[in-house]
Amino acid sequence: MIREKVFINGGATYKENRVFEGNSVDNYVTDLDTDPIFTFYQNTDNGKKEYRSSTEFRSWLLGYDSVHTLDYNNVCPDITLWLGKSYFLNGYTEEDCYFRVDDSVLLNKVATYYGLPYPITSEVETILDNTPETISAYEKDSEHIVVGSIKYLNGSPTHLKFYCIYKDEDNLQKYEHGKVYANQGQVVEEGYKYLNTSTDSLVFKTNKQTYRATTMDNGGDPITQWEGVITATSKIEKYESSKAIRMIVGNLSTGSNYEDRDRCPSVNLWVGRSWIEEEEETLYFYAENSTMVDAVASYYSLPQPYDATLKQQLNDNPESMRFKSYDINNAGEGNFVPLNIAGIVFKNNVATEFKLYENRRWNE
Amino acid sequence: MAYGFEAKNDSGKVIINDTIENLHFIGKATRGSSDSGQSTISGYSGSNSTLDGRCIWTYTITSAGTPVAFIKPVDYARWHGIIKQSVSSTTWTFQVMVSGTSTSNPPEIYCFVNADSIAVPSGETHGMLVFKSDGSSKTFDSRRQPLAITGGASAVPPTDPTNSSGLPGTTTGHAWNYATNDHDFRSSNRYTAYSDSNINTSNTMFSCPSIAQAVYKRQMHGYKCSDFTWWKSGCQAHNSTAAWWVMYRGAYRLRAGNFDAGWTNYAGGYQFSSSYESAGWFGGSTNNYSTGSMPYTAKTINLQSNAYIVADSSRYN
Repeated sequence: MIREKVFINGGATYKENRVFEGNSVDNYVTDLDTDPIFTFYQNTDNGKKEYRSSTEFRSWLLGYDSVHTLDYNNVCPDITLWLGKSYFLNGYTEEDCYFRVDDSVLLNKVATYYGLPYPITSEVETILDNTPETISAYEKDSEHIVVGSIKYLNGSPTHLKFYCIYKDEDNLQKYEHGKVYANQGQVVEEGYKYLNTSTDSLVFKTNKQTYRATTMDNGGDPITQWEGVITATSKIEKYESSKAIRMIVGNLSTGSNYEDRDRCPSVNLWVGRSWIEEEEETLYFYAENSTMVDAVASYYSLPQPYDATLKQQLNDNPESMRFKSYDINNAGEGNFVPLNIAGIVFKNNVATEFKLYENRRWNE
Repeated sequence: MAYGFEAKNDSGKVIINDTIENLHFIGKATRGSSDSGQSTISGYSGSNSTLDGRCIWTYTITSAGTPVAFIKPVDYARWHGIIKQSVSSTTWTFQVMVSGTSTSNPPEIYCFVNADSIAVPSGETHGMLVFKSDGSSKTFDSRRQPLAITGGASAVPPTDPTNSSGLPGTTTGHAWNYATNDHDFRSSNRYTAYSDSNINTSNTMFSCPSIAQAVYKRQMHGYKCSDFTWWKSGCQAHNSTAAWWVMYRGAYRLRAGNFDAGWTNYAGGYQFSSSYESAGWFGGSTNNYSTGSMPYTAKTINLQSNAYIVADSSRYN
């Protein structure tokens, strides 16, 4: 999956950034202190490449003034917003000057001014002029910024680059795909983990709820640091980890294993619960294999959550759908166990639904 | 001294005259409830979870004057300290902290006040009274068991209250979710001994304020980077933080020929947080993590030499 592609010379690929298809991130390192917008640097063969946003871009995107200034080489007068620069502090004479590509007219003027080849095909040009939000890198108040840059070597412009940041919807790029199964393989909830490319933040939502992070400072849980907001009702679904999983993960002796609930004896590890006030409670457990899942279904007189395919997947390839891998057996790094999650929904203390959770890659 | 009575000891120091307020035995404080625990770091189960534990006893006594309290240990192997003294009207309340969690053998608290704050017992018509220059208020009354000090000096506990050598601190670079405490927070070996031949473990009682306090924390940051082709970062960061903290109060122990100034743990706790870049049944949370709030910044405060005095409790039984 191509998430980012940089064009030069009439549509040639300068570089592209793929997800789940090998390491193509060019050694970018996150550094939240380095710049308010460009929160990263790059380790290259020529040394550390720094990125700095311009005063004007900070004002546009973040709404504040800063005294930071940047010098640009041979400024093209048609560019309406300079975004920033990348450069080397070790003396290596390569730098990029980033600017807003308002439209194809501007891009043509820039190419002419610097005497560099126009970077994109007519197909990409059509996208730029009609649906720039599908390839933009930044957004504010529904205004999108598509990024271009002029690359310099030894003080001379060598490339006019054009950046396409591809999204799946709005400004969101899908990364993880979650499904909840019940009633012998029916999908009862489905969602994705997204990256918001404008804000560089993560979004977690399904067709039923949106998740948001909690912290221990607000009385949150040491491990399940999130809660769900139900889309239809705006009610909150709160989560907590069990005493057993806290002990496994962090040697914590706090919490409950829900001994006062109707727990199926076939389960070896209850991992937590969630609840919606005055509505329902769900107890989650480690679904080790289909034998356990079948026993749980029988105990609660509920249909198994999977069909034959998913059942086989749970038995043969549990890593492919796991919630997370944890050191359940205290065997150290490299010996973590794929923790697959199933949940029993209770309403008025009666088990009403048996769910199995699956987490996979965005396109699976 | 222009007039009146004055008595000096062998060193020429004044022990009775018309201006020095002598202390007199008013009685033993009444023992009330106890709160016992803190033998392990609360919320944690793993290596180095053990603490010395403590039992806090509450005592009360009625007195018009401000009483000076002496602790008479029953179990001389344990550490003792008065950690709180308060008054409501004429009822004085003491909280006495004793190391260990056993509620057996609580100490006795002997209380002394100035002569004027004790009612003259009926029938006690003979004795020696020393009055102040006003001719009515007393500095000494032999009928009410004046305090006889048998020894004393000054004492201070060591700065570090923890048995492990070196102060606990914060370290990074641990594996994600690493949560094994490597610091011994017990205080049993951390004390300063003061030789005092007046002390025995049969009848000696002491008075010394428990002023020094300390809070220490061991914190470990765990990290794991899962390879992941990620927008500009290429890494899914996993963070964890484990923090163990213990709060101490200064405490004292009497041994034959020694006055020991040390520490006893008052409270302790454990905080743990594990997260990574995800949320909901996608797992983890955001990349934020926190460990809650420490009750105090890790340090020792009020560490200074305090005068201690010892006396023979059997005189007042």
